[in-house]
Amino acid sequence: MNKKIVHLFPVVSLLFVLTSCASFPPNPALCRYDPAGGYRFDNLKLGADNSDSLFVILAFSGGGTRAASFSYGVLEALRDTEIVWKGKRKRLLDEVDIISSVSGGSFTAAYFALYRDRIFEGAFERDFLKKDIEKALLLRLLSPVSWFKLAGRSYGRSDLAVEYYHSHLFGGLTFRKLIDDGTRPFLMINATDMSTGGQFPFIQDQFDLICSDLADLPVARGVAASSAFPGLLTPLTFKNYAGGCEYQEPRWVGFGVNDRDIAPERANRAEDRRSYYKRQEWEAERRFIHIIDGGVADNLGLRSILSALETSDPAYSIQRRVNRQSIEKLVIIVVNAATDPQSERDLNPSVPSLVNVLTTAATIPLDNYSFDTVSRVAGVVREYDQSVQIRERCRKILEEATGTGLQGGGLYAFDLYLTHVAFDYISDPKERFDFKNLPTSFSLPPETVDSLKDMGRALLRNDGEFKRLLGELR
Amino acid sequence: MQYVEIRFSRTRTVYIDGVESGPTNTILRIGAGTHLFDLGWPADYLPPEVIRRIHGTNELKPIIIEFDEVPL
Repeated sequence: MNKKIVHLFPVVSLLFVLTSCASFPPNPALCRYDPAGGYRFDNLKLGADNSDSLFVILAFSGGGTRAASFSYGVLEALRDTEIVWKGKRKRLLDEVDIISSVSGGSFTAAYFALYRDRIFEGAFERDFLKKDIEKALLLRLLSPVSWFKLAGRSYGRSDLAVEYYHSHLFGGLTFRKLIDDGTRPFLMINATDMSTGGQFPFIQDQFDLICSDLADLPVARGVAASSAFPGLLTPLTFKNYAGGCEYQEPRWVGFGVNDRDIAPERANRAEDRRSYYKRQEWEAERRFIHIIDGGVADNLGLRSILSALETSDPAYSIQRRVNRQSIEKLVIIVVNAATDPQSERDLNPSVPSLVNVLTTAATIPLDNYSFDTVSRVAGVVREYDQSVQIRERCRKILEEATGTGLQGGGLYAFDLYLTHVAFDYISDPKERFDFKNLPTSFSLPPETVDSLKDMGRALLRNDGEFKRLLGELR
Repeated sequence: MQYVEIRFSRTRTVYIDGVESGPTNTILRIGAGTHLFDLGWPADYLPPEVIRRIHGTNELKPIIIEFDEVPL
């Protein structure tokens, strides 16, 4: 026995030396900033059945396998929805231009962006939706090789998850696959920067800020970052190479930092961007960026869309496309798998446990923020609609009263449709209760996955705005 | 949301903060804040660019910015 140990000792020592220094796989550096290259919305062409005039945005929320299955059901419904646009018969799915996702929703979004219709051929359901991912990750965690790797201070449990997703789900593919495909939809996997608290989307416009080349980054790393639920999974680390690629910041950033009195959100966005590459002497250096679950900043994947609707600042600004008059119908489908689990804390007078209190403190603000985000998007959609109507009404009144209309040019009018697919809209109270009490995990029974897919499809098809859209696309 | 109208003697593309953003002589939607406006190339207009703080507008009262055509 002792002899065996003596023989094993060098092997174990070697293994320890080789792996205890395990660190995060560094994100590739960007040699030279090139706004014409990389994974950016403007660098993607329209697909064969995609048009700019019918512009479709999907936002997939977080919520583990529950969210992934729910959004998968919506994709199925879009695949099965035939429309006629500009005299051409096509599937509504082919008109999707942007998918913005968070956490669990990022798995479905990324898989669809990489594999397109092959997502419906069974592998995604088998290898993710209906697979016990938690068990698979746990088995990996229990492997002695993983212990040695995890002994490295810059290698965490999420790095193990990346390895698993990379090899078992995303076929070893990197963002270069999306660049090479070169067509919409534009995938925006959203994570959260722990230091700024802002969104960290996995798009080249964001990676420019840290002079890193997104092209050779595994898609699995983006998805794992987006779903690195605090506590259960660890943050993922990215090296900041800022200063090494001759990055030129967009004009709006320089203006934005001085706009706090009239545009505080713009000022925040500008300061967040500069935090990566333009440090004041009294500020801490940001040599590494630590990224956690996208749900911490926005569990709907909708804030980036909101800012693209409200301003012309983001590279993928939708407002700018509206101004260019290229969009005739704008469709936003928010797939929100938020739950409202029943608690038994009110059954007795006991003081709730620390875990219970901390969980409540962590999740309730996020839920309230999500509610507020949907309300804000609805408000912007309403303003787009009403601004045209108000001008038209005033023009008529003025014409009748004075014989002259409004001075100046017109305001471009287009149609907007905002669809919110959420468990809140399940009409049957008991069924609604059941769905809103589903757990957030990466392991759900196959029949629950099927129910979620069915519910995603049904809720989309029954949505009033969606019906209105389809009525105009037949 | 804020509103601006960039006036010129004919239809040209308006650049906002250096990015192609819509035609002249229509009302453009824009986020609140400081913005730089110009008409790109050819530079047959004056002033060459306008920097303006945009806030407090509405769909009935956009900020008007005028460029005059000048021979090259």
